[in-house]
Amino acid sequence: MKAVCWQGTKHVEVQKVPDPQILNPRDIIVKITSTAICGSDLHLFDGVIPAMQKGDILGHEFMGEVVELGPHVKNLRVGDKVVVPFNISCGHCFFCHRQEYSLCDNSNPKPELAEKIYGHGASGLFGYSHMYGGYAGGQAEYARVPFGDVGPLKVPTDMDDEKVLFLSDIFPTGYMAAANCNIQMGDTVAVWGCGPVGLFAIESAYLLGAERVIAIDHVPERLQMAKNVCKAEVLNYEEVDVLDELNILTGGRGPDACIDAVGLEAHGTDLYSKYETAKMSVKMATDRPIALRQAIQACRKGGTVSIPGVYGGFLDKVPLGAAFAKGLTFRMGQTHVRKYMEALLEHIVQGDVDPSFLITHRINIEDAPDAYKTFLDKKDNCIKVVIKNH
Amino acid sequence: MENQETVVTPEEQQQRLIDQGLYTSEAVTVLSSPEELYNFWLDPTNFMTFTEQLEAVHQISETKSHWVWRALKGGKTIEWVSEIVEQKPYLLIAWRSTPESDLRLSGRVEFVPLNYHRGTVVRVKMAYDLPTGKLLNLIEKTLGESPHRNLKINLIKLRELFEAGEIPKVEGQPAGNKREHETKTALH
Ligand SMILES: [Zn+2]
Ligand SMILES: [Zn+2]
Repeated sequence: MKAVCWQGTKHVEVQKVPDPQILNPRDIIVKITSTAICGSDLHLFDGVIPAMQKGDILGHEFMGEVVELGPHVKNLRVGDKVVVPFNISCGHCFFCHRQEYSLCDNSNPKPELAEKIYGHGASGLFGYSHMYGGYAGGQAEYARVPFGDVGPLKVPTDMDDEKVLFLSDIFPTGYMAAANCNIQMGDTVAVWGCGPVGLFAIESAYLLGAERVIAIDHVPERLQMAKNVCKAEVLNYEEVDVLDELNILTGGRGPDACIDAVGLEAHGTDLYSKYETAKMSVKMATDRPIALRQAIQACRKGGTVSIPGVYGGFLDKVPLGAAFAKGLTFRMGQTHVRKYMEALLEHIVQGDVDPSFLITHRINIEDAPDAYKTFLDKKDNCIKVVIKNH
Repeated sequence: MENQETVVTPEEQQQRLIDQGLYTSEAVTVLSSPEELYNFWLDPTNFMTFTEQLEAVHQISETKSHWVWRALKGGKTIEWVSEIVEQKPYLLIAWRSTPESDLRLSGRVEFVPLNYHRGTVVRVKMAYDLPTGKLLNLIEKTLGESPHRNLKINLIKLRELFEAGEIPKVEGQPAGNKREHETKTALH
């Protein structure tokens, strides 16, 4: 089959590789119909995520048709149409029982590196380095899905791929960011970053009952999408003083909840470099939490700061004093995708949200290397690239 | 709780079982009952299902078993006969190698049930020694790993087997650049 393979910094290739096979009794094989490139794939492309190996198949946002079932998978049939969560979860550990699927204890075959860095490892991820298990990703024609009886969500076969593909990551990620805000009637939510996750956080904040959502970015197309499609009030941080403006917009009280959907801005951490050889070490800096600092300053007393943006290591100059003085609550973490999929599918079926608004580029797999470059440079108004297999 | 008092300090452990050598301990919590874990542990052939380095194991008698480990790197083997020296149903099992073995080792496992369906803590202590005293050298040369890492990884695999019913793996999956095999699991 064809697959998008990582080759090194700013270099991916489409290669012919063997088709995946069932390796464990709970595996399934999915014939991929649609798969997306994620903002977090750009961190891999940029070479700032450690523990990548030449030839690793990228991609963690994919869906398709079940073509083979391991002997222990009883809840699916060949021919089912499924969307696959980006995190791999066993379904039976302490964390899976609590629906904390991204914290699954039993799905990472290589938990050591994450344990060294973070104290404890997290779940395996598709196509996201050997720190997260080294699983082959979904920017390919087929994928092996471990614990296929837990993660994949069956969707109606007549459903358009474009409407449900983003249930694999960014829609649940935006939704969990909003759910973590514990939104109450009348709440105002501010969202930093109008990339895909930020936009879904806006949509989700409204779904969860927010009265107002204020979105902050500087890319005109993104602000436009936030305003026109997602109905947020928007602030361009290059044009206004965000803190002043938020204060005025909220009558001096501040937003009830602040979502940092910016994250590490493609900067890695020097912590990683200890475990990675010289090739990584040069470009390491600490994460730059500019949005997070603003979110903490802006948030109303007793409010919530929610962090879906991915941070990797140490944060520099985080105003913890302000957070303490104002009694803020922090919620964060990798998304428990499977926990939210059903509810979000229902919203899609009901027509409350049509996630396909995000897609700016539709390509064949052969064009993926170019698409990575376009996406990285934010050229051609690129917000979301979907690879379609035929 | 009675079973918690069976935990000994490294010093006591070494005094009791071994004069000098290398001591390691680790614990893992498994969502299962002490009964199931205890029974599983008593059958040495079960270790073949989750212990990567184990080449062969067979039961010699009710309490004795013969073990062959193979190094992941280099492929050398090391053999010993293990004898169970203490056994309290569903609480603990202790064992040590017999004199004819390649190395001296002793170990004990304790099963501590947690309240509110939080599973069972599996606590393992191991001590290794060699008559020549060149223990670390042998471990590194023969097993190619640190005993503590081996113990930790194997306990994680035990948990995976009990909870998930299988051990996650990526060997055998596709990759580009004509990579023939995925890198082996956590041990590499
Ligand atoms: Zn993603
Ligand atoms: Zn789990």
